[in-house]
Amino acid sequence: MARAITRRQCDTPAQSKDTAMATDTANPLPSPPGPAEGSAAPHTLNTGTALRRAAAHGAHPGADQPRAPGTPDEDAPLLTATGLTKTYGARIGCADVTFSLWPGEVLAIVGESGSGKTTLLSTVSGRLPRTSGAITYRLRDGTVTDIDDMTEAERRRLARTDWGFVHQNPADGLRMSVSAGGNVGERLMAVGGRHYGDIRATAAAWLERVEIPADRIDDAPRTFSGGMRQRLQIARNLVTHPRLVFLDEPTGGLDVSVQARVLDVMRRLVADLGLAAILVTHDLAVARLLADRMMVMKGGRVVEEGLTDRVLEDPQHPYTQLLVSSILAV
Amino acid sequence: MTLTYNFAYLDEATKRMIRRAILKAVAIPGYQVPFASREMPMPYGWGTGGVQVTASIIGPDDTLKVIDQGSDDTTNAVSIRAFFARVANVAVTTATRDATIIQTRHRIPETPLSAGQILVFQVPIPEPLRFLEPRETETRVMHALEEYGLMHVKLYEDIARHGHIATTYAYPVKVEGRYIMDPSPTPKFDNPKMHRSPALQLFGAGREKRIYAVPPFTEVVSLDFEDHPFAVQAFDAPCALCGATGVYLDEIVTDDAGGRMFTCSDTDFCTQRRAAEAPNV
Repeated sequence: MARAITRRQCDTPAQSKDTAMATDTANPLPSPPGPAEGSAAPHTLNTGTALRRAAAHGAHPGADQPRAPGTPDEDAPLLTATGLTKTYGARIGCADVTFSLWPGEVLAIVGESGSGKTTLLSTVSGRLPRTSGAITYRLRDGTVTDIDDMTEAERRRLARTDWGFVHQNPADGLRMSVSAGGNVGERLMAVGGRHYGDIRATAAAWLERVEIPADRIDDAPRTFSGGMRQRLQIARNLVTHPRLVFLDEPTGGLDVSVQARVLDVMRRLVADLGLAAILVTHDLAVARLLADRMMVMKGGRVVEEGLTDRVLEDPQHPYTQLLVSSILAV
Repeated sequence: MTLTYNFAYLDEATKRMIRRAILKAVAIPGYQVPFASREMPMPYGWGTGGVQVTASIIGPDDTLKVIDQGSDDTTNAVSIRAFFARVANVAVTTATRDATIIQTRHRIPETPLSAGQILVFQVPIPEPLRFLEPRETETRVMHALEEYGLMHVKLYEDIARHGHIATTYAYPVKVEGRYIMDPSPTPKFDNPKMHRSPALQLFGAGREKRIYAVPPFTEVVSLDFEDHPFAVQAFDAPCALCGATGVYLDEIVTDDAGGRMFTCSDTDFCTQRRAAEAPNV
């Protein structure tokens, strides 16, 4: 959290004055600071709103900060999506979605079923071809590159080294008949790991990090419980130390106590590794726990965007207000 | 009415189509070239791919040898040999040294091959990644982009389960530093013989409609881990008939009281050794 806020503060001066002005004058609702944000809150809130405004106007926040291509800059966005649209024939999957994701930031995409969350995630991660729009990604060497300019080989290498994808159903993301160790080791072998002992030791260390007992290393995931499978899937994705992870309803099919454990593991790893993540969930509590910032989707469009606590404490769009007020209180 | 077939059974247009596939396969060592496999007068699994390759390269001057698990006298070997003797009227032999074309099911002869000889393999499943990745579209992309990490997952699983690489046949190889290839279900004992072999090696899979090749003097490296290097099978005792060591042995059950003996799988090799030792017999 603190890390993301620092980034935002760094970014704010670089933002165009026009956007900031527009925000100040065009925002009729006063935004009370969220409880967790402290002194940095008013600053970040404005920026969050500015981002939302920029998105609503179809502008692209990254465009306000021109940088020479190839210059490594820690404050530059890791991933920027501009005007992302995916249609299924005449129907809209997601339309005109624009956002940036900074290193170490967790962005939640929330909304009801059918609002286009998963379509958006699949489109951003390249699992679905997009209808229009552009995605740029900052590589490890600092080069900002358009995903379309990469060869398929480069995209696939990126997807299995620098990115991770955690599926809602672990069976989609795991090789169910390959042992847990083999599942975790696959990415290592894909990038050239050829020492059995080393691969196995790394796999064992990762199983420990996701709280899977060491003696299950040679068992196939089909003998694992749902929560264990999900944690194994996380380990399998993180073993190459990716910088960006896509999480598609990672706790969707799990009961509440198991969910808590998976969320614990995830929160710890995201913090330890400084991962950036895009998290799709319909569960606002999961978003609250993991995400720095969130986007609310309805009918394929982003209706509200801002810091998680701001959106949940002070929802502005009628749909978000409905969504937040629909949370069951225990 | 008597039916007469074209030379070597297949019509000339088909042979030309198969030769084109073979040329492409030779040009890209280890790459699986699709071809329009024909129905042959034998069931799939009996060597329809190998027979088509042999039929398209054989000429009237060739001498053909056919082996089945190293043996010249089992059903598959005898019937394919008889088939070509009849439809191509070519000379047939059991001696490895005399053959110009050797069609084989799952062995490479013990006698070293020489330049000018062609080894034709019958292949049931040409795709080495098949059991790990069932989608053909995906395996083709994996070959195209050289994404072969999955192959090592299979070997990893072997070691995790058995303590060593337990794959003993159809052991995956990398050809000329590029394509991963399934050397057909030959024992891994024969893998080192493929490496820089002076003979041309052609692989035909009839049901799967693929042809691939290893040209002479091509690098063929068996996959392994640094700490679990590739090793061939070793046998405790020499061949019970000819006393050969360092050859691949078959177990033969001799009675129903548990009696058994281990003899050369390559019958021609064994016969020639015994003939050389005892010229009077």
